Parts: sequence; C-alpha cells; structure tokens
Amino acid sequence: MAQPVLLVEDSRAVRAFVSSILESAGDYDVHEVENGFEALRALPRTDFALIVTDVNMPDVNGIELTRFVRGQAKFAEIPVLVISTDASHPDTQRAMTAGANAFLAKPFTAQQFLDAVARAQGGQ
Amino acid sequence: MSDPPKPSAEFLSEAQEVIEAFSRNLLQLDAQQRTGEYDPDLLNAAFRAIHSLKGLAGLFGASRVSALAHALESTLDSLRLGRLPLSQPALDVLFEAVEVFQSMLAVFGTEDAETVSTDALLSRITALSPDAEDGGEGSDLVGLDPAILGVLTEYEEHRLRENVRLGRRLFRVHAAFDLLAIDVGIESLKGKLKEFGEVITYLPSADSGSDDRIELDILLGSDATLADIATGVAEDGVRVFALETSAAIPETPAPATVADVAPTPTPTPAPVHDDVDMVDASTAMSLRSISQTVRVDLERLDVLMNLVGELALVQANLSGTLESVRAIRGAADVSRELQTHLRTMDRKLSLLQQSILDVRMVPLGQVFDKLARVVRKLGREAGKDIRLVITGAETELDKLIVEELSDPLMHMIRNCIDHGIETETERTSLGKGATGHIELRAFQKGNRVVIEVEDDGRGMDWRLIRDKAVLRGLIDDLESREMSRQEVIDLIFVPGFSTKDTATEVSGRGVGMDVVKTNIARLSGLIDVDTTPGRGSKFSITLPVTLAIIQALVIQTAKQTFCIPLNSVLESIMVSEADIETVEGHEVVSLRGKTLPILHLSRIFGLQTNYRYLDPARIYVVIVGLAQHRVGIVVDELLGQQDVVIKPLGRALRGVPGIAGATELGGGRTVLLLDVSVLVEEALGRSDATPTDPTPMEAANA
Amino acid sequence: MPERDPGERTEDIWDQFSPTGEALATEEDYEHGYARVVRVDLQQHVVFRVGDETYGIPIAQIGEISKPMYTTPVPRTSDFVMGIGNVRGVVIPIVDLATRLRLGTCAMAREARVLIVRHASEQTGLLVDEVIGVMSIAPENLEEAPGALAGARGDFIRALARWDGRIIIILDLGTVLAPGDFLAPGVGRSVGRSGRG
Repeated sequence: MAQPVLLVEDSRAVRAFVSSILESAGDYDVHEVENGFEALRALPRTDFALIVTDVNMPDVNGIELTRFVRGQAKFAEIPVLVISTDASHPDTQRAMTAGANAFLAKPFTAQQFLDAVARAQGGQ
Repeated sequence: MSDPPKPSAEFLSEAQEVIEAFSRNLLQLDAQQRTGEYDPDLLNAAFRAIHSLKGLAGLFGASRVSALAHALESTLDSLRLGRLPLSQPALDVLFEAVEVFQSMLAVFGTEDAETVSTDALLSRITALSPDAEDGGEGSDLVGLDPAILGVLTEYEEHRLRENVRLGRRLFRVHAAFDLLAIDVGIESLKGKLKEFGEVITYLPSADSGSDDRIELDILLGSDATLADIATGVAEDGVRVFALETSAAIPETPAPATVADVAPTPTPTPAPVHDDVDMVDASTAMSLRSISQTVRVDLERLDVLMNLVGELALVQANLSGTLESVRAIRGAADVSRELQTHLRTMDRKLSLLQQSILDVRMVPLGQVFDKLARVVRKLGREAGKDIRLVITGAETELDKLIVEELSDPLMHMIRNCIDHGIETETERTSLGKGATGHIELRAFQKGNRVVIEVEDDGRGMDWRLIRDKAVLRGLIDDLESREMSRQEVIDLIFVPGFSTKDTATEVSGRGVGMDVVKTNIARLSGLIDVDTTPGRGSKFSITLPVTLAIIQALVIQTAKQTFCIPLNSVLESIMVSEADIETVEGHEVVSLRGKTLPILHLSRIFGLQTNYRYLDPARIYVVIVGLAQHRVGIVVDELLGQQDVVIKPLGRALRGVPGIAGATELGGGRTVLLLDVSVLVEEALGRSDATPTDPTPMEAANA
Repeated sequence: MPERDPGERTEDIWDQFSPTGEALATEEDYEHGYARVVRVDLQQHVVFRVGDETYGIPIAQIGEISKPMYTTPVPRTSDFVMGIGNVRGVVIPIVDLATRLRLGTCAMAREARVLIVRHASEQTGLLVDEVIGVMSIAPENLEEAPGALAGARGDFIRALARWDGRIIIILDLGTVLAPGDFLAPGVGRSVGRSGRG
C-alpha cells in the first residue's frame, strides 16, 4: 500500500524534483498542490502519511497550514516536513513552533531529503 | 539517486517565467514609485519570485544564479520589511538583475556559463544593504493574540505593524467556503476586500467541523468603517469584526466576542467592482499568474503537427478507397456514408491543425516587457525622462515571430531614445513638455498584426536625409531632385545609409534600419515610416499572424530532395516501367481507367541527363491536381511528410518557374518547394514551355 | 574597430581590420610632424582574390564573411548561381563569383570564403577564392573604370584602386547581382505562365 504524501510547493520544478525523489525511493504516492488553499482542499480527501510544505507561500502560508493541521483532530497526527531557506530564519522557527516535525533547508540532495522524511516520520 | 537533478529544460523554463514575473512586478513598482505610493503586495511578489528562484536554482545546481538570487533576496527582504526605502537607485539595481539573470539563463549549461559576470551587480547590491538591522520593530501590537502573531510570517507581521502605524484599523473577516470552490470564493472575496485595504493573511480555522467546508479568518487593515466593509462584502457566510489593536483577536476556536456592529444579515446588493488592479496605461500589461500557463516545447507541437499531416495522408488514402467502393455495384449507400464521414474527418482535421497553430501563439507582452526595461534604462542613461505607453500587449503572434521581433523592436526603441526624443532642456524650450513619450501599440487588423512605435521627438527632416544620401553616394543629385518626400524618407532603410559616421554616431550599434527591414522581411513583414520634423516619427510593422507553415510531402528524385505541398497531392501510386505508355510523344499512365500525363523532374529541371529509374518495377508517381487537371510526378523515393515553414528565395530567384520557395528540413538542409500549379500547366501546355537548353544543374551537382 | 566576438562563422579577417586607415603613421606624418588631418571620407573595402585577380567591395556592403556552406542547387538558374544557402535562418542565393566574372570556377581551396553582401535590401553570398584584407582608400586614389574595360565585364567594374602595389577592381554590385541575370537563358516568368494551361 503506497503511502500518500501531500506536497505543497509553488515551484513546478521543485515539485517535480521532490516527487521524483519520493517515487524512486519507495512506495510513495505524491499528491502535488501549489498553494495552501489547494492543500486545505486536498487534506480531507486522503489519509496522508506525510505533508511536505514550503513555508513562504502567499495567502495561507506553511506556518498557518501547520497550525491548522495540528488543530484538527483528524489531521493532528500527520507528520509535517517543512522546506525552508534556512534554519535560523524566524519563519522556520515559527513553523517548528506551530508543530512541524522536521525542517529541511534548500538546496538539498535527494539523500538529505529522504533523511528529513525519516526524521519527520520517526520523530512523531 | 543522490545526484542532483539535471539542469533541465524544466528548470530553465520555470526560472524564465519567474524572472519575467519579477520583471513585470518591477515595472509596475517603478511606475507607482514615481507617483509616490506603491502596492506592498507587488514588492512582496517580487521578493517571492527571487526567493523561489533561489530555491529552484539551488536544487538544480545553478549555483551562480542561486548566489545572486540569495544576495538579491536579502535586499528585497529589507525592502519589503521597510528597512530599506524603495528608491530609483534601488530599482536600477533590481532591473539590472533581470538582465543579468536572463544573460545567465541564456548561456546556462554551455561553456559560456562562466562568462556572465555578476561581480559588479553583487557589489551594487551590497552597497544598497542597510547598515545594520534595527533589531525588530516596535512592540505596538500589545493586545494582539500571540497565537495569531505566532503563525504570521515575518513579512505578514511587518505588514500588520505597518497598517497599525498608518493608523488603519484592523478587521477580522470570517468566512466559510465550500472546499470544492475555495479558490473561486477566495478570489472573489479577496477582490472585494482589496477595495477597502490590505489583506494581511488568511488563517484557516482549526475547528471547521465538516470535510466539505473550511472556515477562514482573514486579517484586513483598512481605513473604512466596519459598516462599509460589511456592506461591501455582503456574501453568504461572511462576517466582519473590528479588532481593537489593544484588544486580542479572540483565539479561535473560541466564539467571536468583539464586534462593533453586527454584520448585516440581510443581503445588501454588493457594489459592482470592476477589475481591482486597474493600472495606468504605462504598465497595462498582462498580470497572469505564473501557474496559469503551461509551457510546451515547440518540438512537441511539431510532433503533433506531423501526426496531423500523417492523418491527412490516411484520409487521402481513404478517399482512394472511396473511389474503389463507388465502382462496386450495389454499394451506393455505403459509399455515400463513407463520403459523409470523410467530409467530417476533413473538417475536424482542419480544426485540429488550426488549434495546434493557436497553441503556438503567444502575447507580444513578452517582448514589450523587455522593451519597457530598455526604455527605463536608456532613458536614465541619456538623462531623458521618457514615458512608455504600451497598448495591445495581449495581441498574439506565433512564438517564432515574437522571438524574432525582439531585436528589430529593440533597435527602433533605441533610435527613438538616442535620436528621436530631445533633451529635457530642448523640449522645454520648444514648449513640448519635459517628458518625452514613446508609444508602443499592437493590434490585429484582419489576419495581420500591426505594431507601431511612435515618439513625440524631433522627427526626421527629409531634406537632411536627402543630403546625407547624396553624400554617401546612395543617390546622385539628379535622382535626389526627382524623388518624392516619402521616397527620400524610405532611404533610411537602404544599406549604407546609417553606417558608422564617427562624428555623429550615438546609438553605437552600427546596425542600421536596413537590418531592421531585412529582419522584418524575413518574417514576411513590412515596415513603414511616417515622420514630421519637430513632431515625431511613427514606424509601423505589419506582420502575418502565423508563419507560412504548410504540410509537405518530401520526395527525392535524381538524388535531389524536394517538397510538394500536400494540399495539391491527391495520392501516391506505384507503377512499373511497363505501365508507362507513350501517347503522341507524351508519357502517360492509367489510373482507374483514366489516362494522366506524367512528368520527370529530372528532365524538366535538367537534374540528370541519363536519368534511369532506381527500380523499373517500383516507380513512385505522386498524383497532383490543379482544378480538374491531374498530373503524375515521377519520383525515386517518398521520404515522408512534414510541416514546413516556407521561406522566400529572395528577389533574384523568386522568378524560377516551378519553384515556390525553400524550406529547412532537419540538420540545416535547405530544400526546394515545388510550385505545383506551374508544373501542371507546363505538363499540359507542353514542350515549348519547357526550356530547351539544358540547364547547368548537373555541373552544379557534380 | 569594435571588438568582435570570434563567432563560429566570423573569420580572423575581422582582426586584420586596421583601426582605420588614418590611424597609421604615413610618410606625410613624418614630414608634417604628425599634424595629422583626420579624414572622414576614406572608404574601407574588403579585398579578396578571385582567380588571379584582386577585387574589392565597400565594407559597408558586407554583412559577414563565412566559410563555404552547403548549397542546394536551384534548377533553371544561370551557371554562376551555385544554389541557395542558409545563413542564420535566411535563405539566400550563393553566387560563384569566378563563374560570374568569367574567370572559370572557384577552386574551393581551404582559403575559399563566402562574402555575405547586402544590396538593394537583399542578401547574397559571393564565393571567392581568398579574402586578403581590408584597405582604406581616399576618393582621389579611386579611378573611375577606364573606357578600355567597357563591355560585358566592364559593366561589373565600378572603379579601379591602387593598393599595396596591386590594382584592385572595385565591383559594382548593382550589375554583378542584377536580378534579371539569375535565371537560366530562356527561362523566364513567361514559362508555364503563358496562360495555356
């Protein structure tokens, strides 16, 4: 049974890259969306095993999305991996405070990404 | 697996889109900055574009692009957080970055990748940076729920503080949306709210009970009153609350407690708001969001076009089958039915082909954006205040044409700035107003597109043009006296008119209007000029909407390749030498009981004196038709069919009978396109029409 | 001269361009103590060899110089028309200048080059045996074509110039590239269009 992953990222190329990492690494079924609204829409439809989200998005940002997920009983247990520019940025800190399980700074390699996925899923 | 992804076309196309969007943001900011107040959303969008670029470039190993984006990102961050004022010098640096990024992308992945220098730009970026960070902003948000503050990004928090600083009131707009239609609903609400002020963020509410609906709190900063906003957004399920900055935003999920005025439950007719983002004409360009377009490789479209071509051949074969079916007794109904279906198929094929051509169309805005940056840059360099007014940026042309237009238009704009528009002092003394104007207009006229470049500068004096042409030996005195005013002005398009004139050359490119004219002519376009001394000049370019693309059958005979327009090909048959008969000195073949003349290209074109069939048992004959006439062209090989762009042969060769033009096949091979109507006429009109003396083609072939 | 990027088609010839004729010290300079008069009426010409003769064309009329490219023969054209070539996406006729000037055919040695010339808003490639260099000449060193050369070939000559001990024939592109001459004798617009069909 493939693990469904929700990928929230506004760059098409980054989405393609992340999807290719996950799909060639194992049994993941990646749902790609490009903004926070689409993520809200996608969430109730699938039992996601992981959410990977960018922080800096217009309208509903990654911090707000994380907070929302943590506040909803039916989503609260989904691990959240936040992709951000750097660990020390205030926005990264806020995402962690809001309940993200792991963060990963861009740019990253495929292996770094998979390690971060393991951190997010293992650290629940 | 651990390799970074290849710097693919994917990366390049997205990076290009991001930079184009960034450039559009800058152009709008530039226009707004000059008038005083600018939309912070634009600055944030510019930041986000560069932020995305940085991440993108980093992932794809474009480290130099990423490094530059990183430097720029900090600057933009300072700008959007108000730590650095948005000034013209700052905009200069940002505009320069657009050029540098584009140069880097143009050579990305090639050996020249390292040749684009970023040092100068990087040091200018550094020079812009604020000396020290001012250690955060004032704590004038006492009272706002820290839980809310905690989920805002740094930028959103800054905008919140900024709204408070500007004396605006804060409102919480609570709305519920059907998940299925959330983007439509949000867009509509956002449009209405922007009428009243600034949308700071959207907070999805954590207690939405249903799977199908979502509740959102929207943070709005506005000068308007609660009643006005409530009336303005009157929509089902939307409620507006005023927040005192000294009061807390009630922690959702707790019920709202602070409300000055209860929202009007009865639906008030919402005022009609037109497009919210009305911008002045100078920046009236496409503001399409990045995600709304899909970029398709032109090669993929070519594949589609070729498939359509092959379908057309299948259809032609089916028409042949129809003929056979008709000959069968008692099959009248079947043949009628088959004919109906064939007709439908023909129509659908044409539609399909047209649709594919439509996909190749892109708006001229792509080029116009680039020109707007050039005007800004050159104007500042020349110390001239120039306002560029663009209209018709949405006019569409074939992508290839748009790409080829960039250089000629750039050159014309340069001419306007260097030679056309006077200096401010000069303009003032002439009573013209210090600001020079250049108008760039595009519009469709029938199946042509017209692009006009007009300036209100000094214009051209035809007498001076005449004298210069005489001095350069382009015309002599006598000619100069006989020429009309317009004929004289058209001399600016003659080679040698605007070559380097060391004393006066300003535009410095050494490329004249003759090159512009040649480039436009290459696209089957025309260029005209209209000028009035003291008033300005107007250049008009008229272009076809699509390139002359046709489907062609590629054939080979006597070792030379030719293309035959597919629309005149009826079918291809195979005969043996024994099937070819001679009637009254003419070679003919029989096809379904009809006799039709055949012609040998090798003979009429003098390609080979002792032409022999490659295989006398398998001779291909392409049946071509013109009105009711049918002629067979003998060929050695059918190489397939293809969509080809017809290129003119130029004045010297366009009179060659039987040749309609040339086209490029793959690998830089240029092949000739047959003019079927002439060949059919020749074949039917016969012998005296064919040139008797052998042409020297063989010598040329040898 | 502005620096030129030595692109794939552009030849070393551009490097040989002396900055301008007037920048070189001449005997007159020594005599007059470098009281140099900058002349603006000098015209630069690209000088090249066809067979054993030396020719020149004003540099303003030359767009680029390239190595011989693949040409596609075009039927029903004159012997001097080698065919069409593709120069940066534009299809242009390529002319064997030796044949055109009745000097045989181009030897196609390693030095052979194609001059892309612009005349009457049209580009044409001229195949020559060798490009020699660039010269600047003053109007007084140009002789109008002497009457002795009149005749069919005389029509191609605009002037004669003396350079580096050689006589250089300055070509008249108007006649060399007369559009009417490109079609083979006997072939014309009337062929096949005589309305019989």
